[in-house]
Amino acid sequence: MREIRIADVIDKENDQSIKFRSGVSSVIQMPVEYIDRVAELAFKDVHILENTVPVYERLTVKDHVRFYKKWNKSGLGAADMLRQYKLEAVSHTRLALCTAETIQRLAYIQAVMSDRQAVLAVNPLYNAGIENIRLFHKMMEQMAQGGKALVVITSSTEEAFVISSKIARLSEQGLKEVETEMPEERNSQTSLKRIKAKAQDKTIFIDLEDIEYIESNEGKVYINISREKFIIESTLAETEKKLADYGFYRCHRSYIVNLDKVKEIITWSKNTYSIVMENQEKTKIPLSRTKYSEIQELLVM
Amino acid sequence: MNTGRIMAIFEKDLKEFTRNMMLFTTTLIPILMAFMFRNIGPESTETPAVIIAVIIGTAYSTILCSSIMTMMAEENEKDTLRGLVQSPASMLDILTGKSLVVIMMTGISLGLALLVMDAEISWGAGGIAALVLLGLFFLALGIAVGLEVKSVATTSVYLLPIMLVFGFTPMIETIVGDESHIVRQVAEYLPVYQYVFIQEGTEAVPLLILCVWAALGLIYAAWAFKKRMNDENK
Repeated sequence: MREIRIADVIDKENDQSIKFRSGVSSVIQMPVEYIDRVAELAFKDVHILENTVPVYERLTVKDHVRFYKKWNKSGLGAADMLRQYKLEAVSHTRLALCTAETIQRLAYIQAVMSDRQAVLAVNPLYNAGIENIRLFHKMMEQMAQGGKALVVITSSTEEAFVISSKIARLSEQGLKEVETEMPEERNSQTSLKRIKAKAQDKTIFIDLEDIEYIESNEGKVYINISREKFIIESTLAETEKKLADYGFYRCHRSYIVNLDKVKEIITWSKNTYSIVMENQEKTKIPLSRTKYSEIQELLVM
Repeated sequence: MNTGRIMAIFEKDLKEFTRNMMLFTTTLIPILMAFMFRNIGPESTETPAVIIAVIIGTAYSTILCSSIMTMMAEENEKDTLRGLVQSPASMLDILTGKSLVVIMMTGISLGLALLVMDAEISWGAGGIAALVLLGLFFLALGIAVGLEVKSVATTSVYLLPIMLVFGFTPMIETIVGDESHIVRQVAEYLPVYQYVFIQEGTEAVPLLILCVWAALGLIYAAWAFKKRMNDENK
């Protein structure tokens, strides 16, 4: 089993690695810089599959497939490959006259026929049409049957999900499997990210992201949205609990602030602080002494 | 050496050679020159060794040397070898396969040219050894340059001096008439002249000089090969 150490890619301590396992394919999404690094680090006998392949313009498609077969002593039949990858119609066309789509299919065929058992696919679906995406899946199947190890690295998450429903992501923190269920759940919650408030005789629903801060004043709780105030019918403590996961912070006994709207913190004196909101009035909200350091931690990454 | 790979490259490059007009027309040059030289001079006299040497020099420099150079340059330019070269061995296979193509094409073209000239050359051991050594020198030169250049366009920079100095050496007689001139003295040590001397009877010293030229060519090729493999591994 071959592997590329993650520590070499991200330049940080890490004991994970990208593994090439026979008959297994894995898909990893990563930033462009890492893609270049991984391609560089790939060991000598890994076949690198890109979204296109350099070809001999004077030779025909068939000539190419036969050359791949002979060079690699592949057991796969040339005619069979031309048929499977839907190249029969152009098999006698010189590459100078072929489309990018045809050349991309040749890249897939070359990867399947390669005598190297490990294949690293780098952004393989860049510019691929629907037909070629299907053929890419066919290629993956053939590789699995042939016992080849395939690692697909791509910069685009969408592309990764086109290739497999199970993908991993490489970031500064290392290699992590992307949880596919979570984002959907979050999406469904976006519609619920509202809070009910009263304005005279109407009940209105306020998007959480519009809220600047919430204050309690003489037993009543008010939501502040750019110069407007609405009463809500719950206590500050209850609201704090509800909104804690949405970037709100109880900065003071009577205030909850939307961390997204905080512009700056001003120290007036040793124990007096204010939070300045990012609005036209530059509203200043009190900040408890005890919360001073905690809010700063929350405000930065 | 992997015979399967050599044959794969041979087959592929033979197709490329015959479909590439720039390469294919070079095989016609020695034959056309043979027709030209046949009609020059008195009919009854035998073709002088110098003329034959010019034909051989032309064939070797324009086909053997230039074709392999151009073929390698094109692979470099289009990066078509990227997936194929994984070790020095596979590079050697590629070079061998290509060499076989150009040797074959040169052989056919030169053979036809000599037939056209109806040349009477001695096919003794010395003559054949000289042809082989001369071929080795030009092939090595072509491979070395081919490994180094990045594009087809740059090959012409190397090709012209190679053709003028090494290919058409005996033509110097038509430019510099004085036999004792320094240029003529130096030219007599160039490879193609050695073939003339061997045809005229002396064998030992010219063969030795040819060996030195062939060795120099091979050293240059080996150096270029090593340099290229270092670059590949970067």
